[in-house]
Amino acid sequence: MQSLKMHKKGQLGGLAPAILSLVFAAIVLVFGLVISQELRDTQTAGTDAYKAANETLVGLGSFSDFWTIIVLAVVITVVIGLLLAVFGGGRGKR
Amino acid sequence: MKTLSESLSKKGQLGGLGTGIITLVIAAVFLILGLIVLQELRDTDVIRTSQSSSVINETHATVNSLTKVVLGGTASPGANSFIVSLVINSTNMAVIPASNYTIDSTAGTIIYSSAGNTMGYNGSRWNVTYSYKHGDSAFSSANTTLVGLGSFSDFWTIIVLAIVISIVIGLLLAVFGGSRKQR
Repeated sequence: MQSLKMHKKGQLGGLAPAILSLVFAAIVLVFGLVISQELRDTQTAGTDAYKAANETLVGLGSFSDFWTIIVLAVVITVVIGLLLAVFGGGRGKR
Repeated sequence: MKTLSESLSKKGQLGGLGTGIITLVIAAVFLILGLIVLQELRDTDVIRTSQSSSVINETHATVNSLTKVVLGGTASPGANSFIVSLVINSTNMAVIPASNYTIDSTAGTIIYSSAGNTMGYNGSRWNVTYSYKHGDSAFSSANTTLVGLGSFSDFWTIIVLAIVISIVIGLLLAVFGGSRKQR
């Protein structure tokens, strides 16, 4: 018996784990930034070590600018996958 | 010849509707819980109040009882805990008593209060000295992360729409076009 195609493809089933992964990654990122910030603050402001640590912190922090596009990629994967499962998913099957 | 119910049950599109909705609900719960955790994380003291700053004699024109004046420190990420230590009239340099203004320590605003209106400071230029706490790069990034992940909620409608389209078109294909390749 052929089960629901979207479940066979797994697009929708992967939605909750994808969100969990996003949240986990976000929490790890924030904790990483906090640790980096605390490390940076152990140095005297203006020293080379401080500047390098600060640039590291800002560089790591720039990851947060890309959450929207990552979320968009997840959504596109789910939606296009669902539609392909119905309209084009059966072509290669025997 | 197959009946409609046979076609529907064989293809299984309709039977998966409940499962699909449950999956959506679970995903939504994960998302909301995750956003709550991230928000709480962002608002912890080690992130939100990691820095302290003070401003001396910040000039504000026309402080009156009608409009709250926003202190400049609010531009810092996650600025909070504003404490005004001194307010003077920038024209005659007289100290304005605390009874003549009201501070919103969270929003970082100051407004003239008529409770102590005996010196005519309403609508005059004020110099405000204050201190406040704020976050740093970690707070900004945590906030951007929260907003970015939160943008997922904008797409629930299109995901629901895709599921509905899959089920409806799948049903129609099962009934009207699914028997072509079957033996």
